[in-house]
Amino acid sequence: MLEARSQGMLRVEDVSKSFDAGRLVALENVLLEARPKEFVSLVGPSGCGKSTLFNIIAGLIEPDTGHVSLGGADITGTTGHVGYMLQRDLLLPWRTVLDNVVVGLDVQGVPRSTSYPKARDLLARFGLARFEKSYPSALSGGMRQRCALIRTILYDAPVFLLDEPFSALDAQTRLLMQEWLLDVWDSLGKTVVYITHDVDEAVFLSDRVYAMSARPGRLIASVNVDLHRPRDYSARLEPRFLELKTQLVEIIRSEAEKSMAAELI
Amino acid sequence: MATTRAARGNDRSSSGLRSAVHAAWPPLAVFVVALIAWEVGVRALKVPAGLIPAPSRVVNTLANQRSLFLENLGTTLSEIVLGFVLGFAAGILIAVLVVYSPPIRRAIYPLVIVTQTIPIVALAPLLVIILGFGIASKVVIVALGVFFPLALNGIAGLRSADREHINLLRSFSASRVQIFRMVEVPAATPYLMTGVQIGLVYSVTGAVVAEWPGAESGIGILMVTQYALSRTDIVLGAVVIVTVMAMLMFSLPRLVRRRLVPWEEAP
Repeated sequence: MLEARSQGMLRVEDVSKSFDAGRLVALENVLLEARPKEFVSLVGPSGCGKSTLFNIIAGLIEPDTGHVSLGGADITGTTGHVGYMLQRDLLLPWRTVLDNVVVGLDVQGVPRSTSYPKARDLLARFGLARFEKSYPSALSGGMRQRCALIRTILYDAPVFLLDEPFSALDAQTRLLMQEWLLDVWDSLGKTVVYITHDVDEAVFLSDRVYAMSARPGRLIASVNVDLHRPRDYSARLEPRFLELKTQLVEIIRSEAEKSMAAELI
Repeated sequence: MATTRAARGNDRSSSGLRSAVHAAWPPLAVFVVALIAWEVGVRALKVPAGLIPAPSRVVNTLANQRSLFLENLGTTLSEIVLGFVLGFAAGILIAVLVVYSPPIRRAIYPLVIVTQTIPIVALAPLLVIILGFGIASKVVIVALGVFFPLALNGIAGLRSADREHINLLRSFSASRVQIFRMVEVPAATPYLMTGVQIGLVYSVTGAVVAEWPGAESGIGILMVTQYALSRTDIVLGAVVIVTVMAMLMFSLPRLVRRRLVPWEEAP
């Protein structure tokens, strides 16, 4: 399974999806590309079908039309190509921290003698070494999300799909986790598709930001973020950061106004 | 690190013991006072032993007739163990079938609900006629009573698995069996423990009562025959044994639960 994972361009081509026998159109002709090792964000109002798109890329649901490819190979409706992380940490309450972070490797049949040392290295790096025998219920929200991130890293898929992973955390912890994520991304060289409704976060993290419209979800703009790398907290203070943020906020606002106006009519 | 954890563990269990003692002594005191009152009352009023035996007499009988009680206890215990194992296996099997096979769910689930409304103990005389005086009819009664809480808790437990946990495993390309083993079974474990607890307590009463219409031996049939002979001391001795058994059956799963569901008591 691992050897089939190609490090190539992730392409979402003309994907549409509706639910409820076509009454609810979640996505309409969505086109999206992420180059290898690129950090791409998707921002948009709530209910714009971001999570549906996410599940389609992960292979958990099939689109009505269009397909998803990775390095030229069609991966529509197939799983195992992406590492997957949500707002909810999804740690299994009955597994200790150590056993939780290796769960993806357990599924693949990787022996614990191989997976444990790797897991312990990462737990140490993320300041969780003391908690490897703890159950998730004993951890704080930030610690739990770090575990979820380690689980995603250990699964070692070529693409990371992150769906608002830090939105439930307090502001300070969130900033810390964002810098951590950039560190990880920098050292691992993964393609990241990051979903958020926070424009600030999207600009800070990404090489490119896609803006989505309200339902039915369509891509309405793609903005290149030409801030230097590596970035730290100070990147947020640069004039260019503010320009990009303003540009995106205006696109999203006008779109939100359009859809509100449409609802009022 | 390891030593501090062990120390903390000891702390917790010893303070647990202290609080258990603290909680236990008031009801225990009431119980002892009631026994003394009973003893004094029976002696003072010279109540005939065949009508109400004094507690001391019951204790004496329990000691003197040890082999009689133990022999019958052996039979009842085998009924409990065999019936429980059968009911447990059937309950789990039905739970798995109902949860994972929609046609079976439609066909069987309503019947599972209906079996609960059958007064199982009322079937005992019929089963003695069909299966004879041996332990078979009692095993069936126990198994039927254990089956229901296990099946229902099993169904609820397997269904309690978090949809998003399952999706996470699917994203790792996990097989159906892996999802079952790594998500659904652990999610169901606390529910099953509850089912086991209910089933075990039922199995004691179930076995004893199932012997009443007729049996070769057992604590229940001992009660019935000695009652006919006005040996109320032996009847009460049997009641004491059944009560102790039921109490053990109730606390046993609670002790095991900490081992099987350790994440529940994480601080």
